[in-house]
Amino acid sequence: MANISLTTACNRDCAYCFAGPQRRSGVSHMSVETFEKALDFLERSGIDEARLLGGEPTLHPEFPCLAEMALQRGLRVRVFSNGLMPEPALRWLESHPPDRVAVLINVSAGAKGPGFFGRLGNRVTLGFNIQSPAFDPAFLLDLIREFGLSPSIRFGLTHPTADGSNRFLHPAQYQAVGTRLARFLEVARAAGVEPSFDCGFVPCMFPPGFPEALGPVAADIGTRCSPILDILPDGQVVCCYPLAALAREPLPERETAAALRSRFSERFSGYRRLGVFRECAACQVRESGRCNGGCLAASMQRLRPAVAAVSRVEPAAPARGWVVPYVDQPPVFWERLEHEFGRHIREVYFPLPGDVVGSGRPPQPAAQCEAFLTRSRLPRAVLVNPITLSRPVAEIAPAIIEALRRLIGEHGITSATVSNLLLAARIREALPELPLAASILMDITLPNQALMLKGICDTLVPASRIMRDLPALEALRAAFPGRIRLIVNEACLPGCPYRVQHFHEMCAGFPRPESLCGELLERQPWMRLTGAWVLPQHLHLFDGVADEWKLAGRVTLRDAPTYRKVLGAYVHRRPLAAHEIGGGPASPLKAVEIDEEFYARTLRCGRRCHECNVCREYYDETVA
Amino acid sequence: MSEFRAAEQVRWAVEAAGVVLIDGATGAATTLGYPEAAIWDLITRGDSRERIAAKLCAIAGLEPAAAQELVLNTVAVLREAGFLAPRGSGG
Repeated sequence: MANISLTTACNRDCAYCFAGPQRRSGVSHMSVETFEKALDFLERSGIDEARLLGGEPTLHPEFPCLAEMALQRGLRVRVFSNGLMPEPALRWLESHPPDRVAVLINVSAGAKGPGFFGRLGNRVTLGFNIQSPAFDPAFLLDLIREFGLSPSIRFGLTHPTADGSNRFLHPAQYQAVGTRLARFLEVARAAGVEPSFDCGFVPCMFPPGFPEALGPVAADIGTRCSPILDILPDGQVVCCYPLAALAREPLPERETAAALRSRFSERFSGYRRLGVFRECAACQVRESGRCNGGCLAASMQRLRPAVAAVSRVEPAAPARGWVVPYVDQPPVFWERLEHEFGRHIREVYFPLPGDVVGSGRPPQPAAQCEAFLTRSRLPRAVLVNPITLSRPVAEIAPAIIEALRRLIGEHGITSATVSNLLLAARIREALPELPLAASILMDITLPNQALMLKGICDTLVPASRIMRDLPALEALRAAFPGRIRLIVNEACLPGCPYRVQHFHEMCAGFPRPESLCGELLERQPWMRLTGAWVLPQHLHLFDGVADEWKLAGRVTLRDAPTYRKVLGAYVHRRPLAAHEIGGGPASPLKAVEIDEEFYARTLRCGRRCHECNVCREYYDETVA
Repeated sequence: MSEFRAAEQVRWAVEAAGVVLIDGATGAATTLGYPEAAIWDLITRGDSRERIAAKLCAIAGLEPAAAQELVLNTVAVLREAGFLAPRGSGG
């Protein structure tokens, strides 16, 4: 096999697309001369099928002509499409018999059958790329039945590019995906629909015995990761799209695909020692040759640079940098959020459902939560963060772990934020693949505390006391090898003496727990300027100490337009006033202009408010 | 013997029972079990050979002389394979 990528043009913008780097470099179509060379290469290599992909291959202005050239050479043509095809391409496809021309159409959840499904009929095989464990491919069966499509579905896992800039399925979620897929496949096969598996599936993601029970269709599971050879529009050949940035060669004049594959295999042979899991190194299935450790690009995400621990975490890419709250909005809200901000959202967090541990807040509406968990493709994370646990950890941990296990299996939870380190250690022991974040309530401010999290927490949310203290954050950055998450609209005053009681009242079910700092702030309103908030226009001041950002606001951002406005401002770093960010008592409640020079000064002031008048005077000048 | 640091082009990952080192430039790879894996980890943290040997005594329960010898041997092997570069060098 080898794929010919006709064009970088695409009329979709899928966050998981591994051709993103090529597409972002501008639209480029393959020339007819290069296409002919590519066909020569296929013929010389004994390949009898021209697999045309993109971008969206049918957007190549000469698509019908190129596809016809392939047919004229006696090759079968297989087109990999996103389903948005121009009419000339569609006409060409429907004018050729299914045994010569096939179309694989990647569809997303909820897709309606476009009219051309009926025109192309059994030329069409549906493809489904799995982005999160919360997928539901049942609609594919309806499409196959309704339009007489080929009774097969090709499943793919979304893999990372070498730089990890696209959204991809983390191997920690493989097991949840495998469990759900196994359930679906039983239904599909009963309906006469057979699956096929694209690269990167591994046996251990499925329930024990399941791949064997699938029979020959499961032959590729575990072993399919080798140089497929993607011929790019400019005539360069890459091992595969995810590894495109690491090695490429010009389309050879005389050599065959086998020779080229051999060179790529050699180039990446060292990396083959890796598997997607650290356990792959000692896996007997892998040793027996029945699995090669999964997607090489996904395995390479585990690599660390060979520099000191301080620098082990790469600077945060702008993509997937935001952790945002679940608010009780219908699926259409989440669909829109995904469309507008999907590539920026790292995860949506929500409290552990049920009464196992409590949410840490007064109960919030949750009527839409099930729909969100089932239908939304956004990654989701769970909060396990009451200020104190109602029972000893040893007593309460098993129920919490069981609840987390269920959420991982059913809804593909990507991480958990935990406020109790002992509990976090228990969770880590029971669910080692679930990334854990140390909650702001762990009150981590000092480098030695960061060391206490070692081996337990992958992400640290520092205490609000230092959320706006750059020297302290820099010290934590040096001590903690994981990711640092800062909250942009933290509601409490840093070091508030009423905080513990307030959180206790919120957890204990008091109907309307008041902010206990009200009187204090009435007496000294300028203190609101010392709150642990960061305005969108000032995020750049934290470059180097923050890997990701959290937008709090399960209560304050419940209104959909406000939520989108605030998130949009933060994601795109558009200015907001401090009273607009959905903060709480700790952010100014009136329209106060926050000058960058003033704000920057407060980031290294050491909070010596007893001998400093900067904030007091600024407040007097801007408000009074 | 001069001090060494991890070569810049090397990438590494923790495995179930050790670490795997990969030279990003050549693709060459090697796997280290314990306690050699701990030596690599400490090298990437910038520890000197003396500090590594001292820590190794505690980590692996070795006598000081044995720890020093293990560090020396491991450094020599890694240096020979190009995974280490002299401290202060560009590459």
